[in-house]
Formats: sequence, C-alpha cells, structure tokens
Amino acid sequence: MKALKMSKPPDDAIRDILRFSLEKKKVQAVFSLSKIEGNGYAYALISNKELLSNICPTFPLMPVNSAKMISRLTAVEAVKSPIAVVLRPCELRALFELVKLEQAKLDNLLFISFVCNGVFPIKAMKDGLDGKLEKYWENARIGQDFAELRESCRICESFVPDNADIVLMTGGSQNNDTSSVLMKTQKGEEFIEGINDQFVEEDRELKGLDNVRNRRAELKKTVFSDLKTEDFGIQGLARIFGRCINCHACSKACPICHCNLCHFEAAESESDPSTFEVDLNNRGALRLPTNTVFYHVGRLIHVTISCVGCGMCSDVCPTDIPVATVFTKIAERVQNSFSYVPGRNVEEKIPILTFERDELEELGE
Amino acid sequence: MMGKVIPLKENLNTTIKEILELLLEKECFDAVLVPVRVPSGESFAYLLMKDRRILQSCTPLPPIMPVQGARALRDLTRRGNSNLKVLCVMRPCEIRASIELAKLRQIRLENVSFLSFDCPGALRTKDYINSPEESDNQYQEIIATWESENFRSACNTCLHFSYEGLPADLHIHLTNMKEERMGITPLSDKGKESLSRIGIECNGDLSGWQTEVNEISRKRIANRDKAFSELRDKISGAEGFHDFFSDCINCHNCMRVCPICYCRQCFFDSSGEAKSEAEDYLAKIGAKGGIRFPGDMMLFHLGRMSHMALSCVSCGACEDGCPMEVPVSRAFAFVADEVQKMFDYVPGRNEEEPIPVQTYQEDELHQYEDAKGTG
Repeated sequence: MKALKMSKPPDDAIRDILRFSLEKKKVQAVFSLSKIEGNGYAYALISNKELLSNICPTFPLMPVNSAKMISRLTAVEAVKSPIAVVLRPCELRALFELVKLEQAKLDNLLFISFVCNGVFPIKAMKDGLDGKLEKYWENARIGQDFAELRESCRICESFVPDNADIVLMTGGSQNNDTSSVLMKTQKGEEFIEGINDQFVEEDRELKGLDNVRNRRAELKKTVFSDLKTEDFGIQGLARIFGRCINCHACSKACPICHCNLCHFEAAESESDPSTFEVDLNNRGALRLPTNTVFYHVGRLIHVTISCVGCGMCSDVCPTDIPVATVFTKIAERVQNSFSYVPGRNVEEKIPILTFERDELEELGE
Repeated sequence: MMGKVIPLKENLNTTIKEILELLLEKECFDAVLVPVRVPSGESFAYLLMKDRRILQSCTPLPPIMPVQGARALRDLTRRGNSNLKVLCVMRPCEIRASIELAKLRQIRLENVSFLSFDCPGALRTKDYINSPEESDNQYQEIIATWESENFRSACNTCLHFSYEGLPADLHIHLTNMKEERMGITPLSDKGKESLSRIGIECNGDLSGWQTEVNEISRKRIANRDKAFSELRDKISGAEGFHDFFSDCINCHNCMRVCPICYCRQCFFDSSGEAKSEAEDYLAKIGAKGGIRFPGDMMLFHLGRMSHMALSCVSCGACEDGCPMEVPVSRAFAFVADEVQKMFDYVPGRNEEEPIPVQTYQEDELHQYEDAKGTG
C-alpha cells in the first residue's frame, strides 16, 4: 500500500495535508476538531488556512459525535464542492449509518481518519488534561489500557478506520514523532498527489494492533458480564434505569437517534387524565413523568442495530447511568444475530429496513 | 400564623408520612404525588400514589431534587384537569414552577393541592448518587442546622425557601428541628379544612418561628449579594458571556431539565435551524474563515434566557443536569433577578398574575428609552 512518511506527529501531519489541499484548492473547506477560544474544544468548518493552526484532530476528546455535525451539514443537500473531513473511526461508522437512514450525504466529502486510541470523558475538557496527555500517548504507543478513558473506548475493537480515504497510523508501534499516512482509495491518492513529501511502500498497517484488539476484547467480556443483563426483566431495567430523570440527553447526544421529535416527547405519548386514573386504580401507584424505563426500551429497539459504541450517551448522562455499556452489550447481540456491522459498508442495508422472507427462524413463527 | 407544633415521631419523614396517610384515609385527597427512593437506592422519583401501603415507602423530603416536581405534575395534567384530587408534596421552587406552568397552560391546577415545607436546599444529584448513605447523614444535619457547602449553588442564594408568598395549601415548618419538632399551618381554606378533617387543630401560634426564617433569609441575602456581584463582572459583555459558557457542548440538557422550558421542540433543535443547506454553512464562514459546529451556542443561551428568565424560579435543575457542570443556574438566577425586579414580578406567587411578556402596557420601561436617549 502506498504511504506517505512524514517526520512529524499526526496532528502536524494532518495540518500539513490540509494546508496543502486548501492551497491547491483541492477542497473548499476542512472539518476537524479544533481548539476554540477559552479552554474548550469543538468541531469547526474552516476555509481559511491560517486557522488550521487551531485544529487538533487526534486530541483525545469528543465533545459531540461529529457524524451528527456532518448530518447537519449535508442532510438537506449534498455538498457541491469538496470538503475534507477528519474524524474518528466510530464517527465515520455512525455517519455511514446516518447515510443509510437518509440523514446525510457523502458526495464531495473526503474522509481522513486515524487509528483511534480512545478519548477521555467529556468532563475532562473542563477539568483539563494537563499531565495526562503524555501518559495517553505513551500508553497508546506501547498498547496499554488507560483506565481514565471512556469505558466505550477501552472496550472498542473497531479502532482502525475501514472506510476512510486516508488513514493515519497513530499509537501502536509508531513513534509519535513520525506519521505514516496511508492512501486507502484512489480519491485519497489524488487528494495527496503533488504534496512535497516522501512516499514509501507500507505494509505494516496492522502490526502491533492485534494485541490491543485482544486486550480490549478481554476487557469487554468482563465489562459486559459485570452488567448482568441476564436478569434484565422489569426488575433489572428498574435497577439500571431507575434513577433516570427523563432528560433524554442520551438520545440527543446519540449519533444514530436522528428524529427531530422523539416519540417520547411527542403529544402522542402523553396520556389523558382519565388514563392516569384507570392506571392508578389498577396499580396503586404511578411514576411521573411516565415512560422512564419504557423510553430506554424504545431507544434500544430503534438504535441498537446501528449503535457504533461511541459512548456519548454515558458521557452526557447527568445521573451516571452506564447507558453505553447497556447499549453496546445489547447491540453486539442484535448485530451478531443479523451478521450486521454498522458502518462497514454504506451500500449495505440496515436489517430493519429490509424484508427477508427466511430469517430468524430460531425465534419461532 | 396559627398552626400546630408536632413533636417528631422517629424522624421527620415518618412524621410527615403519618399526616399524608391520614389525609388519604379521611379522603381529603384521592392521591398523593410524593418522592420515593428508586429500587437501586441511590436516587428518588416522583410517584403518584393512591394505595396507603405504598405510601409507606415515600420520602417526603429527599436530600436531592433529581426531577423538578413541576415536570412530574405537567405530565399528569398537560392534557386536562386531573379527575382525582391530588396533593403534591413539593419544595417551594417546584410549586412556584408549577404555578408558572399553569400560566403557560402546561399544567392545570383544578383538583391539585400543594403541601410545601421550609426547604433547607437540595444536594447535587451526582454527589448523592455517588454516596447515598453519607449524603443522607449529611442531610439530617443540614435540616437541623440549615448550613451546608454541598447544596446546589441555586439553593445557597434562594430567598423563597419558606411559605411567604407561596400559593400552597399546607406548609410544614422546619426551622426548629433542633428541638425535634415541626410545625404545620394551613395556607388556604382547603388546607384548613383538610387539617380539621384529620383532627389537627390549629390553635398554636407559630409567629415566633418567623425569627429563624428571618435569620436564614439574612444569610441567604448576603450569599446572594456576594454571588451576584462576583458574577456581574464575570459575565458582562459578549466576551464574558462567551467565556462563562465556553465548556458548553450544545447538548441543550439545561433546557430539557428546566421546568419552565416546556416547548416540545426548541427552536434551536428544529430542523430549519439545526440543518441548513451546505452552501449556507459555507457562506456563514465568510470573513471569519471558520465556524464552530454545532453553532449558535451563545444564541441558544441568550434565546433561552429571554424566553424564561421572567418565570425562572432558580431551582438549579439546569446546572444539576449539565454534563459539563457549567454553572448555568448562577447566570440564569442573576439575570432572572434583574429582569423580575424590572417588572416587579415574582414567578409563582399567584396564578392570576399574568406573566409580563404576555401582557401589554402602554406606559412602562421608559427608563430604557431614556438610557438610549430616545425617550
């Protein structure tokens, strides 16, 4: 595979590539995580190459899942002239799911991604990452777990991007002062054509990463079994989601939940006073607001087939419910039963959007 | 203020529970809306209950306010008056928010009564979830001393913690808890009637208890003056405001936990606002060279402020619900205070009093015309 060897850290390498592409007018704008005024980080769409110094694509924070942002940019209409988008593998997978759900369009987007070493919980943006970044990159280099990262990242096995046009190697056996930029598609090659750097033949793409994947798979097993979804039922659901305050932050942060108005916020999910009266007579007591646990069941049904395990839901929960752990565990089973991998292939249909006459026979008629 | 002083039996919650039980037994009310500990034990949820046996599990005065009670009552009555006579056991700020929502036609108050209590404040929900037992002990002490550094910031500066100007039906006085007793007074005819029906005679004079309330008020006013003057410098101007909210990730959760923000779909979440044509975004970049995604962070907070500051009861739910722990409620309480003073309006005081933005006055706010030199 063709690769570009750049003797600089990944963020600098990406900045160089993007500067080159803006200068050569290969793209009209670039989209990347960026440092903003104050001490915050946010995604930004940038057309002025002077502002590229603020971007920090591999900085280990995910304030929002950027698939949601690309959906905002392209849902109404496809982009007309090229934009380079830098995002993490789970964000790219979520974006592919959104395309299948007709919430985004890929035309004229060029994707740059990287081997993802995980992100810190969003709260770290406030508390600061001073002193932690060095350890983060060192652990990434030697393939060690880092307990301070999002749990979703610590158990993620899909950290190598499948569908990006350009992929940067980070961590693994990589020295952090040099970057290998792999061109995975013809589009990627054309994009980089003309850049003044050294090209080499690269075949070490996955070296050192199998260990990381195996270690994460082991941790995932433990995390999933600690959750004890076996005794889910209504008791188990009440145990896990009982402290939910119905804020629906998990749905708003979820890249897959794309409804403008969630069913559970719509008028149709409200009850008349007479319904409350009947329910109260039957049960003796009613929780208000209603549908606290049911909302999560509804969301599980709607999103697990496409869930990419990004962990945004847990990060935004004001009552620290392990939403992402529940969702990724159930998602794994749902996705396995349809042999479906969300975000693998944009042409592949989401199973619930297709009809198969012969399937799921094990579930009975 | 005539009422009855009741010595505590076991503890405060059991004493209140007994009164609630009697109120149901004597059919003063058909059902009670009251907090109950959730099955896993580390939080509380509102339960509407009819069955007196289930009432045994309630915690009328929980240390936290995970869901603002007005949101629970809204769910029950958004589509019409309750057929059942319901007694809501709530903190003063929850009752006041309910009154505002009634004005905004999101709650219907017919058949609804309120039992309030002197509220020492609420602990931060996440702190409680992380150590429920320790927090429970801490709260016992707080009820006795009325002092804590672990309250929501909104509670430390709250002046509406007692019954004055509160449209409740029954009120429980808690400012003499050191002596293991509480007081109960009716605040309405309905309240008076239900107390007499359960055999509580209001022949004690509780006016003396006002001394403690005044004492606490003085401390709170001092806290408030200090907090607001610090904030004034910090949040002024576009830059100060921007820095104050710089950790905001635009999740809009402050709005969703806010009892006053009731729109099914916020303007800032509507498809027209959130999703534009790509070319529009590119045009927005313009001379700036770059735009933030998602955008409109400041506009969202300013928009929300202009919509709800008049009705803001400063309950602190916004801050409690913020995943980034942005001190949202401090900014909102500060602005609400200024705006409400401007219109001499106190949210939740009286259902009949219209919200100033819903009324038209030909002669008002001349001072702002003068300030601009256009008067």
